[in-house]
Amino acid sequence: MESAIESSAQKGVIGSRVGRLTDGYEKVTGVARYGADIEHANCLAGMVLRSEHPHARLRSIDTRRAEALPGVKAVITAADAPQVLHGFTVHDQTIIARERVRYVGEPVAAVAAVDKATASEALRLIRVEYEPLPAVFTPHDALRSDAPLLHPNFAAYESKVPLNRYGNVCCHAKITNGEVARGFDRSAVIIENTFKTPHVHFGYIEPHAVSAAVDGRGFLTVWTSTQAPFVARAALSHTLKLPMHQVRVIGTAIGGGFGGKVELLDEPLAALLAIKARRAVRIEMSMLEDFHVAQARHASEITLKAGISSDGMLQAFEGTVIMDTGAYAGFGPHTTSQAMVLLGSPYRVPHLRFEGFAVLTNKLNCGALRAPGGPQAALACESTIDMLAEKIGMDPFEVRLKNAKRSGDTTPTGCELRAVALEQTLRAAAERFDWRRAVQRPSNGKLRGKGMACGIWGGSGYGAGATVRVNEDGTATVFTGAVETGAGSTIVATQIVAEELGLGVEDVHVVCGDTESTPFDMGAIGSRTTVSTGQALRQAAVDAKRKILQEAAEQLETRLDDLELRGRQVLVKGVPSRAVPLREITTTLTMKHGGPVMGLGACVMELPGFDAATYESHTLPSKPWFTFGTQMVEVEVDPASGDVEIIRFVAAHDVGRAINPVGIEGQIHGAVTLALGQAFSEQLVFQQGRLMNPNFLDYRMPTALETPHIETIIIEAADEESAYGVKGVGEPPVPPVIPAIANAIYNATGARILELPLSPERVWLALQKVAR
Amino acid sequence: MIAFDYHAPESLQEAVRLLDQFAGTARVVAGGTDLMVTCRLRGLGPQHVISLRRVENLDVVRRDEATGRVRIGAFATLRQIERSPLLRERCAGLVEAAHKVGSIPVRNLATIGGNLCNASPSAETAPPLLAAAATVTLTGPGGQRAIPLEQFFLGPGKTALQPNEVLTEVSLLADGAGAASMYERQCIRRFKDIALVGVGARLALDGAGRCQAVGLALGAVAPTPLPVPAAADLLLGQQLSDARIAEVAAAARAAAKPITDIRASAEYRSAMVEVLTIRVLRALREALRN
Ligand SMILES: Cc1cc2nc3c(=O)[nH]c(=O)nc-3n(C[C@H](O)[C@H](O)[C@H](O)COP(=O)(O)OP(=O)(O)OC[C@H]3O[C@@H](n4cnc5c(N)ncnc54)[C@H](O)[C@@H]3O)c2cc1C
Repeated sequence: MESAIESSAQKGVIGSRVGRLTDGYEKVTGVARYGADIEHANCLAGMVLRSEHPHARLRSIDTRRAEALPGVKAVITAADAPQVLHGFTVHDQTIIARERVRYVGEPVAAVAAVDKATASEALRLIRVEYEPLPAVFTPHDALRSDAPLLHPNFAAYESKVPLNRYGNVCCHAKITNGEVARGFDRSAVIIENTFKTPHVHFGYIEPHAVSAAVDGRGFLTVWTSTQAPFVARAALSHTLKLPMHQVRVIGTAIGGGFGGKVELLDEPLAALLAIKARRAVRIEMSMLEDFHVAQARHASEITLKAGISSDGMLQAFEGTVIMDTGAYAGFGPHTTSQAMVLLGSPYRVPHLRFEGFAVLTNKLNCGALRAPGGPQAALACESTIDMLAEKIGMDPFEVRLKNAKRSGDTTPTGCELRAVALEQTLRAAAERFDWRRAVQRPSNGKLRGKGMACGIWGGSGYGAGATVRVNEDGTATVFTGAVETGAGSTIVATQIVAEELGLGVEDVHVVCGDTESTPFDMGAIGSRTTVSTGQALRQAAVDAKRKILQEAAEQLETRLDDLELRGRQVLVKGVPSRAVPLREITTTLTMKHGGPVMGLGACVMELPGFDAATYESHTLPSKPWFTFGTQMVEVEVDPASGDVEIIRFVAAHDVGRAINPVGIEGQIHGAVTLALGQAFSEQLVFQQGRLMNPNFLDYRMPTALETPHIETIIIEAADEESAYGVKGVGEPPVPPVIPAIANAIYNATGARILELPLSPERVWLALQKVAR
Repeated sequence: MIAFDYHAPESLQEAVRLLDQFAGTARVVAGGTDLMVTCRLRGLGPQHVISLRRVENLDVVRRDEATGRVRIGAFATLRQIERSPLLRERCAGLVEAAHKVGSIPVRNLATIGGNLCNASPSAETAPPLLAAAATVTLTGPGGQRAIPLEQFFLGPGKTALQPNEVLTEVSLLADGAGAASMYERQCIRRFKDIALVGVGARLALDGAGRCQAVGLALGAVAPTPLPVPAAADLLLGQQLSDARIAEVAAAARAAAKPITDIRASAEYRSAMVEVLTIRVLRALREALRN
C-alpha cells in the first residue's frame, strides 16, 4: 500500500503526500458550492429553447405569447445579441442561432421567468418556423463534392491561424518530414489499417450551470462552473461587446470538467437575460440538455500505413486523420493537428507524411476532452506497433525500446523533446508487470492475454500570473486565476508557496478563479496548471520572500545571503540562536511600511523551436513540454460472450517532479478510468443527427465495480525549463489505455479490433471471425 | 415539469376505490424508480399518483406450508428480497435477479411488483419467476384474482392489470428437496446495466438425477419476458448431459425473437441466449450435485 497522507512537514513540503486541505472538507461534507448552488436575491429561472432540427433555416421566431405570459421577465433571440462571431480557432459561431441551426440542441431562444414551471411554459409558447435543410452526419458524407454545406462560405470566417478550408472541411492540415517512399522501400513489412472511434461525452457528474447578475451600472457578474474564468471573461466581453472591467467571472466549485467546461456554453445567454430582465438569472442544464449541447470528444477515422525493417527499426508512417468536429470548427483544427503530431511522436520514424481533415457535420460541437486527439492517435499508432512486431517476430516491448524517442529527438514538426523518459517508463512498467512472464491460461475456458502501449502528451502553455500576500502574522494568502477543478491545483499551490516561505501547508490559503480579485490565468486546461501556474506561484513566493529577507537583513544586521525561511522563522545560517519568528518581520513590514507584503509572479512557458517547412495549415507545431508513459495490462476474455475483464493494470508515467504523489496517483487513476470507459462502453449514438442515448443508462461509464486496481509508477525526469522540473499529468495517462487493452485482447484471442468501443458484442463478433 | 395529485390511502380497499374513481388517469406508485423516470423522460405522467406506503403487510415474504410455495407481497423491495434468508435459501434465481437490478439505493426503493407491472421485456425478476411457475394476485374493486405470470405480460409496458387493479402478491415454486433455481444475464457494462439477455431456470431432479420439473424463461429477447416450455420440456425425464443441455440451449435460442436496437444486435442476443442457457443449466447441475 502507498503510505497514508503525511502531515505537513515543516521542511520539504514539495514531494510530500499532502491531503486535500484546500477543498476536500467542503466537498465531502456537501458544503462546496457548485454552479447551481449559487444563490441570489430574486433570482429568475432561465431556460433555453433548443433546435429540434439538425439543419434548418430559421424562418421566423414569434416570442409574443411567451412574453405575455405572467411571470416571464425576459425573452431573448438572436435579435437581442450583438452580431458577433466567436470560436476557439475560427470565428464561426454565434451565441444564439441566427438565421440557421446546425445541430439538434443549438440555442434558438431563451427565457427568464419567476420559476422553472413558468419558464418551461414560456418556451412552449415560442413559435419557431424552421425550413429543414439537407444535412450531413458523417465526415464521409460531408466530404462528398455535392454535400450540402453547413456554412455557405466557411473560408470567409476570421481564423486565428491560417487554415486550408473548403467545403465542409474546416482545416486540412499536412505534415511531411522525410520521404515516405524511401522509408517504405527500406521496409521488410508494410501494413495499413483504418481505426475508428466514436464521439464520447465528457461524463462529468455536474451538468453545466451558470448564473448572471448586473449591478446598477450594468456591470455584469457571471458565476459558472468553468475551468477557465479568464477565457470565459474574454469570450463574454467579445460576444456581448462589453469592456473587460465591466465583466466579472467567478468560477464556482466544479463537478468535473475534463475539458468540457472551457468554451462558452450558456454563460452569454444567462448574461443577456440578466441584462434584459435587470435581475439575476440562473440557467441549469438538465443532464439531457447537457448531453445534447455540451460538446463531445471528436469521432475519428485514422488510416495508418507503416513500414518496418527486419531488424525492428521503424522506417515510415503515412497516415490520414479525419476528425468529425460537429457543426462548428471548435477544437477540431487543434484535435486534428494534435493527433497528427502524436501519431509520429513516441518513436523515431525517419519518414513521415500525414494529412488531417477536421470535418463539419450536423451534430453537436466537439471540444477538448482530456487529451483531445490522444486516444484516437494512440489506438492507431500503438496497435500498428504491435502488428508490425508480430510480423517480424519480435517482442512488442523490444520494438518499442528500439525505436523509442530519446532526449534531443524531435516531433514530426521538428519540435525538440527535452528530458525524454520513454525508455525509463518502458523498463519500469515491464519490471513491475513482469512483462516476460508467460500469461497463465485459466482452466475455466476463458482466455488471458497481455498488452502494452506507450503514449506521449504535450502540455499547453499560455499565460499565468500569481500573487502571494504574506499577512501580518506570517501566514500567506495566494491569488491565482486557476480554478480548482478537483484535480488538486489548490493543494499544489499551497505546497509550492509553503515550501518557498518555510510555512506549513495549513498556513497558506488560496483564493482562486475570480477574474476581479486574482491575476490572469488561462485556466485548468491542457495539463498546464502545476507547470505554468506553479511556476508563477513559485516566482511570487520567491518575490515575497525576498522582501521579507531584506527587512530581516536590516533588522538583524546580516547579509541577505545568510538568511533563510524555515519553520515559520527567519534563520541566520549557522547561528540558530538568532532565529526570529517570521511573524515579527511581517508585522513590522506591514505596520512600518504599510504593507502589503506582496510577491508577484508570472509565467509563459516558452515554445521550443520547430520546423515550419514540415507542416501546412496546422495549429500545434510546437508545445512547451512533452511527457511519456507506458502502460501494461492483462485481460481475461470470455470467448462465449465477449466480456473482457482487466486482471492487472500497470501505468508508469514521467511527471518530471512529483509535487504531491497522492494527487498524481489520483490523476493517473482518474485518467485511466476515463479511458476505460471509452475503451469498453462509451459512445454517443446518433441517428440522423439525433442523439439516441442522452442519459447515463444508455451512455455507459465505468462504475467502481468494473474499475480495476490501477498500479501506478511515478518516474521523475526533471524538466530544467519548469519550476521544480514538473511536467503535467492530467492528460498523459489517457492515450495508452485503449491500445494497451486492444493489444491485450489480441494477445488473448487472436482477434484484432480496430474500432471502439470494445464492447462484449464487438469482441464476440471479432472472435466469430477468428474462429471461422 | 412533473405535476400530479398524490394520494396515500390507509387501506388497500381505499386505494382500489381511488384507482377506480380516477380510472385511466391514475397510477400506483411503489418505489417510483420506473414511474418517475418515465414521467420525466416523456415529460408527462398520470394526473393522480396513488401510493400504498401507508398500507401495511403488502411486503410480507413467507412460505406457504400447505403448498410449499413462496409468497411475496408485491411491495417487497428488491433489497428486502435479496437479503431475505428465506428467499436466499428457497428462491436463489429470484434473489440473484433482484441483486442484479441497479444499485443498492435503487433496490432500496424498487419493488418486485413495480418491476413486473412496468412490464419491460428486460425486467430482471421476470425470467426466474416464470421459470418457477409464478402466479400473480391482482386485487380490484370486485376482489382478488390470481393468474399465471405468463398471462400477465401482454407487451412492452402492457399487462393484464385493469386500470382499477393493484398487483398485491407473487407466488412461486421454492427450491430445496432436489430443486434449484438460477438467473444469469448479459450486459454491455458488467454491473449496473440493463440486461441484453436474461435467462432464468429452475430444475427439480428425481432421486436418479433425472429432470422431473423444468422451468426456463428468457428476458429481453421478445416483446415480453418469454417462457420457453418447448425447450425446457426436452429435459423432462432426462439426465443433464452436456449434449442434452446444448440441445435445450439451441431450442431456447430458436424460440427467442430478439430485435436489434441501440444496445445490441439480434444476432448477438440470439447467441447469448444459447450461451447463458448452457451456463445456467450447467451451474444448476453443479448445484444439485452437492
Ligand atoms: C438507476 C436504475 C437502474 C435500474 N436497473 C434495473 C435493472 O438492472 N433491471 C431491471 O429490471 N430494472 C432496473 N431498473 C428499473 C426499476 O428499478 C425496476 O423495474 C423496479 O423494480 C421498479 O419498481 P418500483 O417499485 O420502483 O416501480 P414504480 O416505478 O413505482 O412503478 C413502475 C410501474 O408499475 C406500476 N406499479 C408499481 N407497483 C404496482 C402494483 N403493486 N400494482 C399495480 N401497478 C404497480 C406503476 O404504476 C408504474 O407504472 C432500474 C431503474 C433505475 C432508476
